[in-house]
Amino acid sequence: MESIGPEQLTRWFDAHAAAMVLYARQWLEAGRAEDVVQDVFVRLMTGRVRPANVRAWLFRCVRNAAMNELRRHRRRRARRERLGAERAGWFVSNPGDLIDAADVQAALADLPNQQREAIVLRIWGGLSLREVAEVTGSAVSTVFSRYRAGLAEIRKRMSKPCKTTND
Amino acid sequence: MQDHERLTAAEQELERALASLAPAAPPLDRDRLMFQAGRAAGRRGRWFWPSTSAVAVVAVVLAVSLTVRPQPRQIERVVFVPVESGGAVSVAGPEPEAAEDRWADHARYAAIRNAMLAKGPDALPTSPPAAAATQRPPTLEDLLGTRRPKPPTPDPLGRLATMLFGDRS
Repeated sequence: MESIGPEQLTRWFDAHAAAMVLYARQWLEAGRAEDVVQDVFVRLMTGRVRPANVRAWLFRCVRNAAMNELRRHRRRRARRERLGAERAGWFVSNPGDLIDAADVQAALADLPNQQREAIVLRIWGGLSLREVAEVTGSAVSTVFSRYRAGLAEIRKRMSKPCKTTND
Repeated sequence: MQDHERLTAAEQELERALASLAPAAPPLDRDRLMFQAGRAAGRRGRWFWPSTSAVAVVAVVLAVSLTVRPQPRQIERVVFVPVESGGAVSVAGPEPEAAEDRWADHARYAAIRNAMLAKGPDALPTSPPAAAATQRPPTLEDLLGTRRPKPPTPDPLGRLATMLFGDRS
């Protein structure tokens, strides 16, 4: 059994914590999402067996924990209102961004769950389509279809066209 | 990247634009998280050595108790069993002569059977003498040896003479 040292845990935290919180916020409010991510890291540290694919394992644990949390508190009905209300804070807005962070957040919030999940995991989680399929328990082709449909929906819902590097 | 091979140029451009956005940094305290993780990891192994020691102690006690176990004592007791005086209970084996007779009967039976199979019914021995045929079969009292003496046969004339003249004997 390969143990996980503090340095390695710190490295994983710096690399994935932000994306994991963003992923958890698809279901939970910010405070609960951070608690869930923290619990997942503690579980990784205390686990007896190191997962083969740590990145996919982290996101899968966040997903399961967020689902359990959502089920426990029966907040499914209010989720869409909450997503709409939490307009601020999903992304860091920088002047050099190719796209407006608030518009992306609004477009993501309006996406169907599965499409949003595929896009968040693929783009900000850095997972391959195969890993996304592993995390969500779906076929790779299904994930790819959702991913493309989500991209098309975002493109359609964006009020202004994307900026390009030439602009 | 293999995932990009099936995306159109417009989709790849949108993908790059989205990826340029950085998720908001969570207000998680990394040092506090590390402390909690380390404490939880330590708590996990807290009961390992105590439980291991307890199991080892129990094993040693069991081994010692099995090794130095005292031999079981043999207690001899005399038990008196009431025996009815009338019954002749024999705990000894059969008499040697009776056993020989039984084996002789078996041997005779086998010889008759073999002769019967070889020569047919003509090989049967002649019938036993008439005295033997009239012999009474043994009763249960004969077998148990508890046969009572036969009561005297009543003599009506003698009883009448006794009644009339008294007992002169």
